[in-house]
Amino acid sequence: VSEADPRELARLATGGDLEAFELLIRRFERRVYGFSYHQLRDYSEAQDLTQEIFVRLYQQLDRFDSSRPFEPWFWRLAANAAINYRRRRVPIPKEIDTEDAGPPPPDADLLEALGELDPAYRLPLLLHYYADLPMEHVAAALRLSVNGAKSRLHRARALLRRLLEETR
Amino acid sequence: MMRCAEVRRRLEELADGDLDRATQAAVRAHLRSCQACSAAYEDAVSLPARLRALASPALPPSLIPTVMSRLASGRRLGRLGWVLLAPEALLVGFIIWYVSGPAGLADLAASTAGDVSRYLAWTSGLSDAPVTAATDGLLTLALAVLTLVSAAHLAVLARSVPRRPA
Repeated sequence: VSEADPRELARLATGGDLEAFELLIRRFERRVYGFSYHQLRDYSEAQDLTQEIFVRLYQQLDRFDSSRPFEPWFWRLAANAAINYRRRRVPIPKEIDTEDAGPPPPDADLLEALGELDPAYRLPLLLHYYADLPMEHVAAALRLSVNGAKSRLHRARALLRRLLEETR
Repeated sequence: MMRCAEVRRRLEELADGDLDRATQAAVRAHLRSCQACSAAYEDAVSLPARLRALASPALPPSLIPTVMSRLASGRRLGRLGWVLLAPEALLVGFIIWYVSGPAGLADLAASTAGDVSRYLAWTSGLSDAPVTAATDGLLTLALAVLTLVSAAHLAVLARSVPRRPA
């Protein structure tokens, strides 16, 4: 069942099957936690946000249309949860949270620049490159046309490139 | 010949192969003659791979158990919420039966007013202690219990709302 289609797991979980729901979140936990961390740059808050995303997923499963792909719907929910979470929280720490993080992360410059980027641009980058969503799914998650999402992504990469140039 | 600023705006589209042939040729011609733009293009090309290779932080082991326990406790609280509806319904049923429609409500208002005036006369020493009907005592008790059960029910519902960080 662990390799089951997320749609099938979602359908079982909607009927109250918590084991199916656990399998569903196991499939996404790494990407969601990483996505949350790269949004917030704080391990404790990333854990809070990840939990909130999964609790919200469980509460909203009955709104999922199982005739459509699961991932764009799920990542839209995750993106909205991240946006709401950021609105409620105190401003992002300027320094990357390295508490309990072990050795410094590879490509720290990129992480730093990503943290400086406007969330409206950071989100499509994380969805496409980090969460590995195809462009059509990114567009659906952000409620943009595919061309609109592509231009947002180009703009985001250009801004990120400039931020990286400034840090050299 | 394109200017640097215009070329820099097109680098991501060039890297993704999204430029039309003429623009692509113009941008490439500029890159051949401009070292700074050429270096920026190298950055533009390497950025997607760097983003894909972003390190994933180690997962906290408590992540899934915490989520599952929040869901399980939410379900328990949800069930308790329904159980608490039973005594509430029973108490409301009793009160409705006692009041028994607008006529009963008018009778209740009149008898309450009479009781109040008799208690006032008693406290002023003008008459003996009034005798209250047993059912009036039951109604008062039912209202008090209903208030308590409703408060407990609201507390359960408030706890079942997902916690949000401060």
